[in-house]
Amino acid sequence: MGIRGPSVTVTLVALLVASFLASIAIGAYAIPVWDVVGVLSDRIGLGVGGTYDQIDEAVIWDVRLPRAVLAALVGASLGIAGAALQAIFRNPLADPSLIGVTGGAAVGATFAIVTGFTYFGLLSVPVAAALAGLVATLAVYAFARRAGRTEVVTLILTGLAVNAVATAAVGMATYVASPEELQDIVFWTLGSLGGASWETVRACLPFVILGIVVIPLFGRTLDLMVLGEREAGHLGVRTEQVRLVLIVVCAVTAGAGVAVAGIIGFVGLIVPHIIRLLVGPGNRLVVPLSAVGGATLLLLADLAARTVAAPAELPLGVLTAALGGPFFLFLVHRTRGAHGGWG
Amino acid sequence: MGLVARGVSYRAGGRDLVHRVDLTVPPGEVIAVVGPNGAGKSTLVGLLAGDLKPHEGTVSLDERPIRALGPRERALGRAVLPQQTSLRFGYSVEEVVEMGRHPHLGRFSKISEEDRRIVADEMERAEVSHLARRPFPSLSGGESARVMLARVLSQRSRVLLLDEPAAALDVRHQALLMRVLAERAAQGVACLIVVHDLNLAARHADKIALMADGRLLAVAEPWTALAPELLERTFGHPAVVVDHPSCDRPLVVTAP
Repeated sequence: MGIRGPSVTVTLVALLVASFLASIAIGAYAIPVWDVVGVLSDRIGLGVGGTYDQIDEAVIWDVRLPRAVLAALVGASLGIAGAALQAIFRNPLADPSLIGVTGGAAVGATFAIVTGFTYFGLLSVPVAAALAGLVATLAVYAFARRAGRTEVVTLILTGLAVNAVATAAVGMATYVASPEELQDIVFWTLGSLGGASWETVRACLPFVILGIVVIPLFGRTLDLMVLGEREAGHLGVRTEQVRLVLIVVCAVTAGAGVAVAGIIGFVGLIVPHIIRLLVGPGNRLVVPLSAVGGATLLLLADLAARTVAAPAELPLGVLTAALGGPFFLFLVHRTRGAHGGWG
Repeated sequence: MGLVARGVSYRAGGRDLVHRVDLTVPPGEVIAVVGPNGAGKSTLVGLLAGDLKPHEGTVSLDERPIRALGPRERALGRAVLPQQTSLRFGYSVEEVVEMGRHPHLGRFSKISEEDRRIVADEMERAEVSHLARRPFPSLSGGESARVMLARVLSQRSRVLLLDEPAAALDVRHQALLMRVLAERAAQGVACLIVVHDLNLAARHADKIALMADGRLLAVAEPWTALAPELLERTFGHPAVVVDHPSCDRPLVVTAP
């Protein structure tokens, strides 16, 4: 594992850069990659020179770039939160939807749409989604906590219950929605980066950065949490404190991603598994690389969503789930073969 | 010094799982705790480890109340081997044993050469060196028990608390485990081990603590603790005690 770590890291970062450039260059209006590099380097003040036309520049800067940046941010937030949550819950099935982030955010978003909540302008739906996601997570956590301790199974079951209520609430909102509202709800629940703009990027950037900075600090601690809560405590970890901090950070980070992009399934679940397959289970590598891998995966998925059925656009969440499901089956099967499965 | 419990009780579900237990685990001794199922042995380990808050009484580690110590200070003072550990992710055996060094590492410092040497030593001692690269979930029950033993040993604490570490081990590794504990005790470590095999306790422990129904019935050296009347009172089952044919220790033969 120690030998593969650096080469895998370099490969994944290179892949991220390549998919970032590709998702800017490829689309209904094709732009040569060299022009993409030219525009980007001019804008950040180290002009490589070269000539490109004004339309290319406008498409890159106003349309493709914010969308690519948003895809990377959302993917990174889902990937890193998934990796941390799987370790905290010692459960390979954990992902942001498990602790109520996604369910809560869906309720917030649909109710904001149905009630015509516009206090935060264009960002009203994302803000409502993020707040509701955090509230749902805290509710799950508070219910699962007893006498200063949290039992993991209770927490997972509480998450299931909260998600069921969230699904009912979304269903109810869908039922009373007008046709236009319904369209917005469908758009949001199926997941899409179609609403990307610099404004949405700015809205989720600080929260995603929070997660990307804070969660990797807990890499080794997360390894001990995987060993067992009691064992981690015996080795000097303040388990309850670590768990609360990480759950809140994960909820905020993934919540920000879900808020701007809607429900995008399987990224948070599957990316950490792929990374573990490549570098082993050590969280000091798995956590940061899950951010890199999540960003890459979502860039490529969004590229496919935009181009496969052009000029129509496929819903991104549908695409990730359709590809993620079978791939997850393959992973489960492979792990079973490798070391007797997850028990 | 060592680990001292004074008048410790722990209640759950309206009854005392542990009732007013006084027990001293001094440096340099191996104390074996024996008793029937549900006697409160694991609860006692939890109290001694500082995991559980006693409803009355105190537990102190080197004369300081263990519950008042921070988690890291506790981890430097005592290591605990719980009854069973499940690990669903494919960490290698070496990575698992390295986790035992965690209390000795700074927040962001890497594992040092010294840490690696200790880890290699303890893997050797627990006879798991040949498994170093194997993923932990692929091990057999006995192998994983030895890996966990190596992890706990590599913590290099002043007190060792082991809750039934011998259950999954074959006879050779059971004897190995007890020899390792005796070796640690000789270096001044205080050891407490919960075992089911009375003769394992009889052959290797300095003292045996008999526990039944949450109470300590006796803490004494093997010949005294394993008296037939006391055994029958503890387990509710008759036993005969004879001389071990090859060492000066009692041998317990249970009645059919």
